[in-house]
Amino acid sequence: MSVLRPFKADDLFKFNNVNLDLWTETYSISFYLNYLARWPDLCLVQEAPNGKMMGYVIGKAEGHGQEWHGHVTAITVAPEYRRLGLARKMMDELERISTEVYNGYFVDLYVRCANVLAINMYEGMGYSVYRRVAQYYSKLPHEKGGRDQEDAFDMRKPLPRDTMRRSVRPNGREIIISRDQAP
Amino acid sequence: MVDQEQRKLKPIYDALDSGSYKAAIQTCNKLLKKQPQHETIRALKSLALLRANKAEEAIQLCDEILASKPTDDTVLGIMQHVLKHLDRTPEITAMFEDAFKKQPGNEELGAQTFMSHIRVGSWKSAQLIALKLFKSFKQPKYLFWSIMSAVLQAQNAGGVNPGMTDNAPILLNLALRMVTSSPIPSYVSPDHFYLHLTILKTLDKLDEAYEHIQSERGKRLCETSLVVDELRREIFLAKGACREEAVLCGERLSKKGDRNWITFLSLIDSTFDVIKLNESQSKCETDSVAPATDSEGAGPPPSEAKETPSSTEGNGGEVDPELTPKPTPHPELPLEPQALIDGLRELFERLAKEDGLKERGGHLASLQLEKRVRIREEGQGKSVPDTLVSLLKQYFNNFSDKTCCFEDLKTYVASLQERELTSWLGFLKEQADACDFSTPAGLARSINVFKLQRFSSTSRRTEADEQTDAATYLKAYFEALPDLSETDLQPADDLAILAANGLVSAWVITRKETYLHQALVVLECASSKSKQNYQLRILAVRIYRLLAANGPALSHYRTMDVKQVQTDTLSHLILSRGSTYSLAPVGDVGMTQECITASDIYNQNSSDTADMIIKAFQFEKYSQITEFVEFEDRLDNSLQRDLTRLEYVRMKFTTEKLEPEALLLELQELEFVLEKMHHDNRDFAVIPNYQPRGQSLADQTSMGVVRGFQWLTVFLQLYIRAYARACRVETSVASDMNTFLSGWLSEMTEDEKTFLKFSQILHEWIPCPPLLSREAAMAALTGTATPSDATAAPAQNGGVDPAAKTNGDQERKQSPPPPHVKQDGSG
Ligand SMILES: CC(C)(COP(=O)(O)OP(=O)(O)OC[C@H]1O[C@@H](n2cnc3c(N)ncnc32)[C@H](O)[C@@H]1OP(=O)(O)O)[C@@H](O)C(=O)NCCC(=O)NCCS
Repeated sequence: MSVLRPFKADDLFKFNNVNLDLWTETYSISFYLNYLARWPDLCLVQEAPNGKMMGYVIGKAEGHGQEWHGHVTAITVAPEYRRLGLARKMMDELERISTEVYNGYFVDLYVRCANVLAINMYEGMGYSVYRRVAQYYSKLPHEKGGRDQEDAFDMRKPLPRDTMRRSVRPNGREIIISRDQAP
Repeated sequence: MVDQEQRKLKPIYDALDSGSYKAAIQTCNKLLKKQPQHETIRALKSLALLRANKAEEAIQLCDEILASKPTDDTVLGIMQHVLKHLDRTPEITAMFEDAFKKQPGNEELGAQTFMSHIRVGSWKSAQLIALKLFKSFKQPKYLFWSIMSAVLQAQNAGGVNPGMTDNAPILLNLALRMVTSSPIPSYVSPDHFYLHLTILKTLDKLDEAYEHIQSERGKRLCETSLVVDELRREIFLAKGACREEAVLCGERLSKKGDRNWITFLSLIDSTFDVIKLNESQSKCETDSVAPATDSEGAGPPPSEAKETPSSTEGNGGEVDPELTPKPTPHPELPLEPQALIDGLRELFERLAKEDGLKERGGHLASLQLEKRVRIREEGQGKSVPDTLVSLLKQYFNNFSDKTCCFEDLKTYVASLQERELTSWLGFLKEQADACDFSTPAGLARSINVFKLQRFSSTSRRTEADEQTDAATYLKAYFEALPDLSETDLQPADDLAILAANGLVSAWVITRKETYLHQALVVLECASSKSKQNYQLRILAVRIYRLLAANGPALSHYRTMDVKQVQTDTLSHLILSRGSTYSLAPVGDVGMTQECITASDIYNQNSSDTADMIIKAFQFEKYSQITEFVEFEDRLDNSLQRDLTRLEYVRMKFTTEKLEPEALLLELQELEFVLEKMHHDNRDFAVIPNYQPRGQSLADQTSMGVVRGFQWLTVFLQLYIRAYARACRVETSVASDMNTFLSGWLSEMTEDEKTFLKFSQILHEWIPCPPLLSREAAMAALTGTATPSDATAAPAQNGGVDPAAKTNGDQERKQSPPPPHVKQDGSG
């Protein structure tokens, strides 16, 4: 139960309770405004009835030909609002817009191979590993590092337009590409 | 050819990129020997000169290049940098205008010219250029650029007094004509449609807007675009189409699986509007002879606050039967108020049952509805039924294992009456007695119970109450605390925060400092076990500052890694009255450094946000442009920015010796700040608050009264007066500050009031020297020559802007005029 509404420029003044959490990075002004200037319909906020921000998702549409798809750049929910189904709702909406407005073939996202919680969550939402991108992330300051920390899974979920289900590969976890090969 | 050219220029670019400006200049000189008129190289040389701090030579070359009216893309791009650096942004537009005049067939130049106007916020010129572009090149995009520019002009977006201008109707009608004459319909994209509807709404052409929304393609856009749907709702409400809104929201909830809370709220709000409308219509019909003043029972009491954010705009809910054409009752809506309300009740109960505990919407909507019903009945003098308490209990039983349960219920608890509170508190007591901290769900429930108990408490709380409660929370904390890894949040953290709330209250009641010490012990202990919890740290920062222990406060603040735009909203935590704790005189520049760090974002804003506004034009995201402009303005004119500026000035005074040349510039900057319309972006909501109703932990732990616009104004004036006296120039600031009315002083501490008095006495006591003109003062201060030489004296490391980098690197359009006579350069 939350207000689902568009992300707006002045939400940058309001997102502290979400962004002060360790797992959520705060980027430059241009980062957010660039997304809003191009894909405002893929940037959404969940707000509590009292006006507090609960979480947000930032996405884009990209790719050529059969690679045309929606992409989740960042999704985050403030700790006190987790496990309420908010991430699920935001993903649903992003998938809906990727289908109805952008007519994409699939939606994808990158996640640290070590973030098992998030990977399970995405699998529960119908995503599967399409490939592994080596050394996609930098090491987290409080972690030991290692391949699973630094590599990313590119996870995809087919949209209705992907009738051949090309965005699903059973052996996705074994297919490894380098960072430069990733878009 | 092109390749060869690029190869030739590459060493210059490389040198510039790596900061070897001398080498860049040398390479330019070498190449210019062979090709003295090579425009690109000349432009690069002037950029290199500027970076190498050879301003005079750079300006001379720059003026020569501009005089030749360049049209080459690359040259124009470089010159744009040079001019920006020289703080001569208005000339950028002139440069592009000239180039475009020379080559009117060059579409790219035209677009650049348009963008240069956008960059400096001259919407009017932008509008004209865009129209010209449209006429020459026929692209609909240019027409919409022109339309958007006209709208910005009408809104006076980013101007000193934003808001509709007097000629707004003319501009908007012009914009509307352009939309209607466009070769493409506004339905092509949500953003075009949004722009169209915005114009219609602002012109109050609500029927026309309504028609577009109700068209097939309009409906579809509302379904797929949240921004358009937001605007649709505003238009519906402004038009008084509450019946349609109610039916639409009802449908979305019951048939389309919509669970957006905004839809629930809007359904409830609009249904009550329908009730009002029905009543006033039947009243008009039955006793049309009744005097107009007889409004008994018809209208709701003024306290009937709407909760849909959008309904606060326009005359949203005010349904005036005289003005609204009488809409026919909707076939799908009953006429009787009771039937309407019962309909909602049934719907929410059904949704709650269908969704189960996965979705709180239907459950909470029942509470929201009862709250509205209650306000209505209270307004009619009826007695209030007991339903709210039983709904609260029910909701608690369903969702008390969710952290947000307390927040969900707060507003409904606040509307309980005394007698109901007793029953509610009794219920909470039973829950508290059954508290169990051993499972995550049990822990979450207990925390909710404690928070609700505190919030609902009715009696006057004593020191003993607070002590007992704090002890209870603390005991629970240690009982609940499992051994988790250091990167996780501790579910029990809220208990420590609750204990700190109680201890702060005990301090507020008794002013015994030992309670603050105890609170810190609790917070430090919890923080050591839950390193990522920022709420613990925020509280610690505030309490340490109350105890004048700025060191640990600063270190907690820094651990939170506040950065980027957060420095605007959160730096108040450490910088509010920060000069009090500056240790700069003994060589610790920690606080000064914090001012500088916190001010960097404003430079980022002035250099980057305009680029993003331009980008939004390029990608035709018209729904975003006004928002971006407002964002830029809010940050540029941030209250915190200038509070920090003053803190910085005050810190600097204790260490740096005053640079006479800088004084006048600093004075000018402060005078400029005084003229600003400030925005308060500070985030106080992030400070956790579990105090009883009506109390705020943020206020209780504020170091002195929270400062606002009045504080800033008084202090600015105080410093401006002192600076002006030091520079021996006149200023518009009053010389008698005893005249501030007490209201103006309400944000000042006793010490600050004394300081003001002291400054006044000093001002009267020191004899006023003969005043000088500003030019003469500048000459006198620099101790040397003519006014034009004074340009060579930028505010060096001093200045009142902590983030000022070099002389030219000031913000666009809002920067204060340079204090010297305009550089006459070659002319
Ligand atoms: C990942 C994150 C966005 C999930 O948000 P959320 O709103 O709590 O997720 P939802 O409530 O929608 O959960 C959807 C499903 O994911 C799974 N899930 C989510 N959090 C889980 C957890 N802590 N443990 C187990 N399963 C979990 C569950 O299957 C859940 O469905 P269920 O509640 O019906 O069982 C949130 O934890 C977060 O912001 N984390 C930090 C940032 C981050 O890691 N982002 C992802 C990077 S790619």
